[in-house]
Amino acid sequence: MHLTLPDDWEMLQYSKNPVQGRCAFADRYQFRFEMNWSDVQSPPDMERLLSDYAASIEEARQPKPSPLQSGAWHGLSMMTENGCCVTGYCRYFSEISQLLEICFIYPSGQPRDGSAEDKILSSVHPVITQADACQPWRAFGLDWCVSPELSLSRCTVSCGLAELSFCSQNFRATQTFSRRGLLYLWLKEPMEQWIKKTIPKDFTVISAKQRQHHGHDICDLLCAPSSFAWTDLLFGKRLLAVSAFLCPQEGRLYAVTDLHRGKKTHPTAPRLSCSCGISVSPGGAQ
Amino acid sequence: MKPVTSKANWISMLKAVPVKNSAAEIHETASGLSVRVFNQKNDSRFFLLRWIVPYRPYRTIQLDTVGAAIWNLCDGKRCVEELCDIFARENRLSFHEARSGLADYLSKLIRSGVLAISLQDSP
Repeated sequence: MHLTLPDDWEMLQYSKNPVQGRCAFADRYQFRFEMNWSDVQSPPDMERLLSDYAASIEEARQPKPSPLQSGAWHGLSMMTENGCCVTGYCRYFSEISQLLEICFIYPSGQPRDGSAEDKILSSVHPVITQADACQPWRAFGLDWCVSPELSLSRCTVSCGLAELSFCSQNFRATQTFSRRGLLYLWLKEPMEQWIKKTIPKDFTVISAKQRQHHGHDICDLLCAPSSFAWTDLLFGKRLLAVSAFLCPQEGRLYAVTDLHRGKKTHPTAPRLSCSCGISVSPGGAQ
Repeated sequence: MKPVTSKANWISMLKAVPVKNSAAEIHETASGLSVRVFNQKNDSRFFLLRWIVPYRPYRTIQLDTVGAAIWNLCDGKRCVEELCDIFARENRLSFHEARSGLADYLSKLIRSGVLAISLQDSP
């Protein structure tokens, strides 16, 4: 799903489940935007959905909500008990069989901004990728492409660190994308040495390359298992490719790893980009 | 369709002003700052216990580079929001990245008595 939000709204809550979940964005003072998604096979009766919801609000003895419409979005405007104006919209996207609910939350005493809501709602559209194409992702200031057969398995976001891992259904392939800041606190050695320390103990570096691209120092590693394992014979030999680079403009370290078994079934390599537009693929693959 | 997060806000936290412990003694070290915070005056009722467990009139807290930077930024006028802005700008972080990092750090410094917090009325 693609949508455009104000620059100062940051995602603070998220679900990893692509079938049903929610994410919430906040400005610097409070949550301002929520998005809920759920897979629904056939279009729901929107009028019924809204009227049921309006009835539940009236039952809770809250002020009667007023109906809203913005393009194909149907919604309601209501006041919460703490005096905040809240508007909620829903729309069914038949292309991806998903029902989307969007809520705008206003600070106490601030009136509803209909034009800003319309602008955001009109920017919402599903991103449909071909079955064999890489999935484009953008979150926490990172841009990356992940192989189509993988799904989000882990997400870590903290001060100066954003790291997301994707794995296949059988857990045999994993791709990890990360961005690290506050380098002066922890990066006390050359990047190549640091990246070698992050390699799992059961892997050995078989090739290491260093290159420069538009002022970015890039380090590519290719690793193989250091000892024989029966699973390698059964499912194919494990290969680990790692690339890391320092963005001089941002002063942050980007790293991408790709762990897979045997010959890759998918020809397109994962890709991670910084804000300068420089992108790398693990192991230096183009 | 009702938002889950409508009541959550952190305005009072952002408007709070961290204030240095004026009785603390500062010493510069190679790794940052060392802050000596004096414990409350010992209670004479516990003289027997004090005889068994030696009383330490102060405790020393070591601040690393980040802690020293935060300590130097706390001038008793800047609120947490301003500290977050400065910390985010200097370390190329987003506002909420800086807020989460600073909030953790400030709470540690407050618990150890290095800083106190002055809460302002939320708008």
